[in-house]
Amino acid sequence: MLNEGVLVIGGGVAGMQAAIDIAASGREVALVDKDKSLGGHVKEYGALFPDLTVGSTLVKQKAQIIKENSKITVMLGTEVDKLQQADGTIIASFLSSGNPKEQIFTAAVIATGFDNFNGKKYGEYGYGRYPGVITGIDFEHQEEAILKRPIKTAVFIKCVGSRDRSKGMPYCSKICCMYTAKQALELKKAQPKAQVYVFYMDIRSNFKNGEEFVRGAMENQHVKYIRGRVGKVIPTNGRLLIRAEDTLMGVPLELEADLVVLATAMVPSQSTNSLVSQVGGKLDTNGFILPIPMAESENPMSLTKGIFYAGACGFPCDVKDALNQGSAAAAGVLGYLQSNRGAAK
Amino acid sequence: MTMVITGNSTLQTEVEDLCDVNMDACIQCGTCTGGCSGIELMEYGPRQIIQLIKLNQRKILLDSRAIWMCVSCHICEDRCPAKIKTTSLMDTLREMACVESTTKSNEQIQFHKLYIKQVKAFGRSHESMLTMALTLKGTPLPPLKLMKDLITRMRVDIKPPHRPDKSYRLAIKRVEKGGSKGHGK
Repeated sequence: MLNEGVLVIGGGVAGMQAAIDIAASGREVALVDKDKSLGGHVKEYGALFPDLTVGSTLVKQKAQIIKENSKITVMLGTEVDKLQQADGTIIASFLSSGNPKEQIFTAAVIATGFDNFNGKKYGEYGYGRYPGVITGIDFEHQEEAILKRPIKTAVFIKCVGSRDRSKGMPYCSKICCMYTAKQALELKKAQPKAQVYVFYMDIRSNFKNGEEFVRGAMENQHVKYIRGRVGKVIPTNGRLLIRAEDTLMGVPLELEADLVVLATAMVPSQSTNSLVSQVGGKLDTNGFILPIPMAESENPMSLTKGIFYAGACGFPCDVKDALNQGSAAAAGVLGYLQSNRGAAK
Repeated sequence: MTMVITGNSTLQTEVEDLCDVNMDACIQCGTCTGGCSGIELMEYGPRQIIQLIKLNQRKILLDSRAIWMCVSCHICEDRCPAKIKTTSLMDTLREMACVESTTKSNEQIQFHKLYIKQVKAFGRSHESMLTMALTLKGTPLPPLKLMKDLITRMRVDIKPPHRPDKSYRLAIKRVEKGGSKGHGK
């Protein structure tokens, strides 16, 4: 079966945006996701910083546009097994409930996203062992239930898996500072009497209105930020004893909490590796897509001939950035197809 | 020394209510400490004092020497990027320290109380009398050589102080009557 369309691998926000923008030019798009529904991680998120758009609402809006566009074929529960380049075309073989299928495309966008760091790797925080210790992702998933629980003291621990060369990843996952501030804010709004502490090493709120957002959490909602990395969480009398150092005062600290939220890192997705290596792309030492140097590529999202990437498979990014990259990759695809057509004539 | 943070940290709200300073606005940059004229005599800089309030460390804070070494020069406040009124904060903390019974034996408070008593009585401080009063309270006398130098160079007056006129005494009375607790409001 011959299809002159464009393949978009990954139905998260970056992939959805890329599909929408490519289809808007009138081209056929196949949007493939291994999950049962579109939206990737974002479909399970609550409010997104800084303007507090609800993640699931955003996904629904994008999914609606895709549904209404007859040019986009959505293939759910489907995995891309093989990806090959031949004669200026891209041959993809799919695995859908065990049935292999092959299709030919003119260009492709890889938007395979990210995975969440496994909090259990930090034994000292007791994730999975102590009730009351959750990750930021758990917080997003069970937000309503958590906000209803009576909480006297909550502690957020940042950089769990990020900026850690021994147990985690050496890079900064970029978004944790913002979503931690957002979650702390939500907790404080739901339970004004709760004491909310955030343990941080640095506050990296490098987004538009990011600094103002974090400062707002501190100054208006009185979320208490303490500089220092928590050393240990100890279950005591049904609560959790937090031991840390306030590095600004230079003193060891102890406090008891009912809820501990770990801001876990964004780690590269397993599927990125196999896809990228099949088309001759490269990964960096962390497992994210290694971009072509800026001055050597026509489009910032281009990977190899006819293949582009977008979103967190390149590097941890926020939702807004993923959408931007999706659009940028779409522009790259359209430009590539246009110049290809000119060359064929 | 491990600091234990208890669930209800009331100190911050208490101080904030008294001096109208939002402690959470502090970005812990240390500009205040960098410019502070009394820092050599303080065990905690203004930045750390704010942090102690946030950590609910009432006893450490109100027993500290630092709050008494602030000379209200306003350099910290002038340079603060977060617009924190550190000088008002220090005033408030000193007032709180005076009220708290646990700090009655604090020699800084003793000095300041004697000093204010003299200013009220004579309209200015009288060093030789202040030294006498402190000695009676148990503070050792300054070295003899220093005392001799100060007196012979007329830095310290040993003549009895002037008694200020009636209008001054009335003014002091007015201040005492309307004396308010807290600053900035």
